[in-house]
Amino acid sequence: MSDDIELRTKRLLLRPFRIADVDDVFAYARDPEWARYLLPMIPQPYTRRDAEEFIARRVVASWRSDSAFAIVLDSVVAGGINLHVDEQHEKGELGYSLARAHWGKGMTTEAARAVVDWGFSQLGLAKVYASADLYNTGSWRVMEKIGMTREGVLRSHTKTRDGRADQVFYGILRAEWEAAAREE
Amino acid sequence: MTEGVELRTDRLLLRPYRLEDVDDVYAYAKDPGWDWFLVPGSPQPYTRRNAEESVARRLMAPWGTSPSFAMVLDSVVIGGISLSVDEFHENAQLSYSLARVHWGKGLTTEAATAIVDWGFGALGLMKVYGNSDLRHVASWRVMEKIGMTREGILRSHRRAREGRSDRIYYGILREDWEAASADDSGGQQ
Repeated sequence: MSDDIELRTKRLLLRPFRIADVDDVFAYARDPEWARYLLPMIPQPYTRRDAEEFIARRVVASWRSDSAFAIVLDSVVAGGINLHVDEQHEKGELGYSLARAHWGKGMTTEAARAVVDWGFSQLGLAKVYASADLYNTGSWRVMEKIGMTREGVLRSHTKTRDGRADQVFYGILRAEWEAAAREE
Repeated sequence: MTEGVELRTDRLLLRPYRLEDVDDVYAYAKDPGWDWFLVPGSPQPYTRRNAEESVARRLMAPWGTSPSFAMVLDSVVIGGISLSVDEFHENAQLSYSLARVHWGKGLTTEAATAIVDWGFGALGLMKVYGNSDLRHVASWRVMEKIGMTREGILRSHRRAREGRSDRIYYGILREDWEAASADDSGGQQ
């Protein structure tokens, strides 16, 4: 199994989380704004123990069904991006989060492109999809930028810190990814 | 607790599965046309053992998060209807299936109305939703008839018996349900 896989983009290294990443994760995840729209809900206040548990879960998780990459910028972990694979239905659900200090620089888009390419080319997926709180514009803009299509808004679908949230779904099909890859 | 609950509609009794339901389930589930749109499709050919496993799974499912009702018409099990409850997000996914000989009589709509009422009334849910294969018009018509709103079509979202399946999603919120209930009682005054 390729649990030592590394993906490289212009600015980023994507590689599996390691125990040694705890301090980096704690540094950005303790920021309450970072966690505002994330699902599942992130504990508040966020303790170092929460970061340790996050890393522990990532380290023991099956790489095959939940491939979780640390997003590394200049040797520091600045976020995470994962592809949760449903083998029966040949689809992957993309999830990501990034330290607030790096928002607005297109880094998530850069990482998401690499993981979507990897999911279609290496895992042979038929579809990659993602969802976000409808208020989290920054998150679903990433989905649009990487060529996903809006497929629906599931109203009042989740519980959040402040009440309930509409969850917007985006997806890209294999044929669309192949057509885009040919154009480049 | 709501364990062991029975719900009654005009024509149907909805009650938890029993082991002795196997023969009834086998009688309709072995029909190859029955599960055309069910995903994952049931095994073909469908054996009595498959029916036993299906009933056993429903019996074993934890009632609090997976209440699963047999639909009983004139003492015969003709289908099933269930909720899959997400306690944290206070929502539940509705699923149903019905013997093909009973399609087109509004029985699923009748059962689904009762289960949605029960989910909002007894379980205190904030939302009930469902999804079906886009080609299975009769299935998503049920969701429209019980007052759900179309929320999206997740393209190519599952494998189907032939190719892939677009899944159409419908949902009803607690406030929609309350407003409809208020309309109903208003009509009786």
